[in-house]
Amino acid sequence: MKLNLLFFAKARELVGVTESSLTIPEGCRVMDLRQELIRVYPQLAGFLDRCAIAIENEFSSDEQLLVPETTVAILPPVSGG
Amino acid sequence: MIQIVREPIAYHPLCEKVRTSHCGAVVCFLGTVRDLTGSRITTSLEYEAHESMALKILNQIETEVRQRWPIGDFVLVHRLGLLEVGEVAIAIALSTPHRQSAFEACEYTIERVKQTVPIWKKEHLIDGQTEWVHHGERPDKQPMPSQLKN
Repeated sequence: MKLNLLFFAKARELVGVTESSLTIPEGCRVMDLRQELIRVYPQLAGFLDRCAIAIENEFSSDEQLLVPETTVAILPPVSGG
Repeated sequence: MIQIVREPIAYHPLCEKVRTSHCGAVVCFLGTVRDLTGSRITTSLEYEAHESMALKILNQIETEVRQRWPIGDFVLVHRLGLLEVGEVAIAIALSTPHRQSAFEACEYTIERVKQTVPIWKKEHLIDGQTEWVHHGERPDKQPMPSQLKN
């Protein structure tokens, strides 16, 4: 299944793009996506653990099942204000 | 009222906006760009956001604040883009009948913004270096501020 990816701040600079897409097997959970992201973007290793993953504007849990064609955002530690 | 803007924040009208006849306390907080962090000299800060999610979480924070304190009115405006030293990055204004709840509600609001809202800043330093400010932990793993623990 295909997921739409959004990268922000340092994660965006590490991967070099703002948006991308990723195809992963059906039945994958967020924890599997984290591993796949490191495989595709090895430059995220060591940083992704500090990032939250949001699905359709909601923070996700590692156990959450992924759904095709959803938008997944990689969110580094925040620094607004 | 929640807004994310790219132009300078007109904060005086925001303080006026939240004044109501049944509220005896108005607190206005401005977060501004500081030039010194330790010995590092900052010339500007560059803000970006996951805007749709930031708006959603900011609205959730307003709901939390209204549930916890007797809010008369509440406004929060966050600016994005390149801000020079001294410029206003965030303005929060709110009113309550008495001052203690106004101070608590405002502190809670800015603490939650800094913990969990997907907005980021990159420091531009005087030597030309730039650095993302990612000092905190995962934005989805933050403990509630102390105002909600009692």
